[in-house]
Amino acid sequence: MGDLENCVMSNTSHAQTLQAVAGKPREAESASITGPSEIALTNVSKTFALGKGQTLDAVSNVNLNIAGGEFIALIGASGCGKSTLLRMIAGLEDPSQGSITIAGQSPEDCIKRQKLGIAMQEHGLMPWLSAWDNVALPFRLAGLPVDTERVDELLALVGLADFAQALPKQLSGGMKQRVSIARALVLKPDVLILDEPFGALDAVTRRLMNNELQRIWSQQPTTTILVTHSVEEAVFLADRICLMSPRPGRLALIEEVELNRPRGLDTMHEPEFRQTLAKLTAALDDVCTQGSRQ
Amino acid sequence: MTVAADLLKWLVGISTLMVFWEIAGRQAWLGGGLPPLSGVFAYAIEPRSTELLLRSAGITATNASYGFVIGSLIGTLIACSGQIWRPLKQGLDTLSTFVNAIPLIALGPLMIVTVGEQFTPMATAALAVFFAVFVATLGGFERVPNVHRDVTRAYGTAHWRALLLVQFPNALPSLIDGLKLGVSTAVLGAILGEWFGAPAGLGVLIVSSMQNFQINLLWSAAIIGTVMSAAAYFLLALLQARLLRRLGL
Amino acid sequence: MISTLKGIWTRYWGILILLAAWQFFVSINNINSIVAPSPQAVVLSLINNADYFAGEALRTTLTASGGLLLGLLLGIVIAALAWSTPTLSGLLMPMALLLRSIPIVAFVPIIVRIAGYGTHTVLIVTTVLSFFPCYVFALSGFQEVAQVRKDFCRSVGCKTVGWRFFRYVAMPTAVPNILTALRVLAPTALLVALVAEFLIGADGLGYVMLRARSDLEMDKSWAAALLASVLSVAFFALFSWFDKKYRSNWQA
Ligand SMILES: Nc1ncnc2c1ncn2[C@@H]1O[C@H](COP(=O)(O)OP(=O)(O)O)[C@@H](O)[C@H]1O
Ligand SMILES: [Mg+2]
Repeated sequence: MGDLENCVMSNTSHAQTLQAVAGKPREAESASITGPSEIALTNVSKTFALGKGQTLDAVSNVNLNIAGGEFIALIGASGCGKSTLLRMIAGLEDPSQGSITIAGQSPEDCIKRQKLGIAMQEHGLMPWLSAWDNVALPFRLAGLPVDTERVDELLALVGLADFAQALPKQLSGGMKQRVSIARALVLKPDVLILDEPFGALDAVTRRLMNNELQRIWSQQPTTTILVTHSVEEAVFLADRICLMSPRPGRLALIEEVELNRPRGLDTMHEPEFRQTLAKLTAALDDVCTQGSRQ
Repeated sequence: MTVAADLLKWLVGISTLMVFWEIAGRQAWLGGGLPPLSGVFAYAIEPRSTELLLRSAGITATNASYGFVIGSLIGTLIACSGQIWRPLKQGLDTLSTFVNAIPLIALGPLMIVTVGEQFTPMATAALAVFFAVFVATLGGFERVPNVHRDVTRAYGTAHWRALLLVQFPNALPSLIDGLKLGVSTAVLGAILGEWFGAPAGLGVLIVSSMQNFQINLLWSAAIIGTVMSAAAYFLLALLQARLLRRLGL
Repeated sequence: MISTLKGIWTRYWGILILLAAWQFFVSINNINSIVAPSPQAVVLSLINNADYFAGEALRTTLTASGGLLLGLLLGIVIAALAWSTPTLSGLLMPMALLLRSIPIVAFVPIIVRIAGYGTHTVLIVTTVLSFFPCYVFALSGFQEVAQVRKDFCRSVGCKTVGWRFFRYVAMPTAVPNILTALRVLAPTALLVALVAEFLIGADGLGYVMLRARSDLEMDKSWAAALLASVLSVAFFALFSWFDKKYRSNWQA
């Protein structure tokens, strides 16, 4: 209950603060030379060795071009290789075959220049640090001076300015995810990678979080890849939706979402929204049952 | 593959230690207190000293074993009695914590009065083991899943039967952990107990060789004590692995 | 009033019965006070020599805490080195495991032979005792960083081996482990300091026990033992409280 209240309250109360900050990141972005980066995946495959000569094709032959500033959602049954693909894009895992470039460079380069932000289903916050210090941590880890204004600004952006000094254990699940997203955004990444960030939240909180993310994303033009189990979430947030089929994980379908932006909570009641949702849900069921028949 | 790698690590680790010791001993880095390893070894395999060392080790091993058995029995029984009759539990906890805190060397004189010099090493060993096993068993009981408790309660099972059928098997892994800890504590307790005028044993040997500057004898005795406690520990660890596999835990 | 008495009884009946049994045993057997003093005699001795006992207790406490702290520091530093160089950790781990099962009392005389008779030897003994558990606990703490956190660190361009990762992530992650090591070791350090004092004849409660006994002042010897037990329980309680208080901050 408290969780829900917090979400609703912050939604209304920091609307004004948002207005105040809104201009800033835009200016900063337009001033910087690098913009949101385009990502190119060419014939990307990943094979895991399971031991005793057994192997597992987690990802197979994925080709995808993502435009700068595009929001991509990746859906598919659990275990079909979404996280593996994401980890490869984030430079946390090397592809067995094929290549990945971000703005023409390797993911490792991208990491080195701190142009990447990630947030996962497990928030991975440091439990001994306050929300503020957690958001400031990327500066420290990257060996940069902490930009305190930027940290304050991001906490305000995710509606947690009043919780700056709270420890993670004092925050609700939704709040922790928001801190995690603020942390991913604090170094002004060109690419944002989200792996089921709201997977552990209840349905209502999740919707509100989707709305928040949509708003934050439209503030800052960032190339975003989101892995999710929820087709609704994917349709609501993404420009394009990629549907992955299991074993071997490949792209079975790529669907454009023709919904106008900015989207709000009422977008979910529009007929186009429901149509796209129905179509993709059917496709997902189809791919999954095929997978299980194999 | 990994077993071989582990073994290699152990071999390299131990031989590094031995080589380092030998050098330190030869160069007398720590003065006369640390003789070269080869010297200690040469001393220990002289027939006369071997005989003395083995006899003492045998006595200490006997003391430690009796102490181990008595101590673990008492520890387990007391932990169980707190389970059967709940009101006992809190008082038993505080009593055990306090008994554990009483320094063994302070108990030595008391033991001599009550059980006699001969049995003091066994008694100190038993006391040392008792606490390790008691605490581990209690910890095991605390980890019994609530579902299991609920089931026994729903069926109206008698306390002692629930203890036997549900709680005790659940606490077994933890109990074995305690026994593993206790086995080296038993050796320690026995050696300490032997300081208080016991007729023979490693503890006696260690103190007398310290006072008489028999440095090789001192090291040999200490090493044998260590090997004894390490061997017992690994034996129990092996048993534990076997048993847990049998129980499917 | 009655309920507090009842509370005391359920919690402390074991100790109370122990005290009663002691008193009973001494008075019924009419035992010579040289063999076993009565509880009153021990408490009286504590009160009459309060200053003396306080001084010696403080001395033992300080030596034990000093050794504990030194062992802790040493353990953390070596663990950090082992963490940064896997070869070293591979070499040290077997030794640490082997030395864990060492009966420490068997080595006290050896340390005495090497370091001589004096309080510094007591300090060395407690340091050696504390070192290995601290090393093992700290190292496993450093290595316990969850995969999500490592992934996050790598994503902002921080390698999971360097100093920055150690300083901001690995080190704080190990804090609960180190607290556990302290809690487990604190009472033991005190008792081992006592053993060392007893054996060496270095000033402190251990020596009080030894000398009072050879002077046939059994009440004094037992008073020292009682004081040491209470101190040991207090040490344990203190570090448990500390552990409890701060551990919750490590749960996200
Ligand atoms: N490090 C690994 N080693 C072996 N197999 C792995 C590894 N990581 C993932 N896998 C396997 O790859 C497949 C895809 O996993 P993942 O990408 O996590 O799926 P998803 O995120 O879509 O649920 C699964 O079958 C999983 O078991
Ligand atoms: Mg996944």
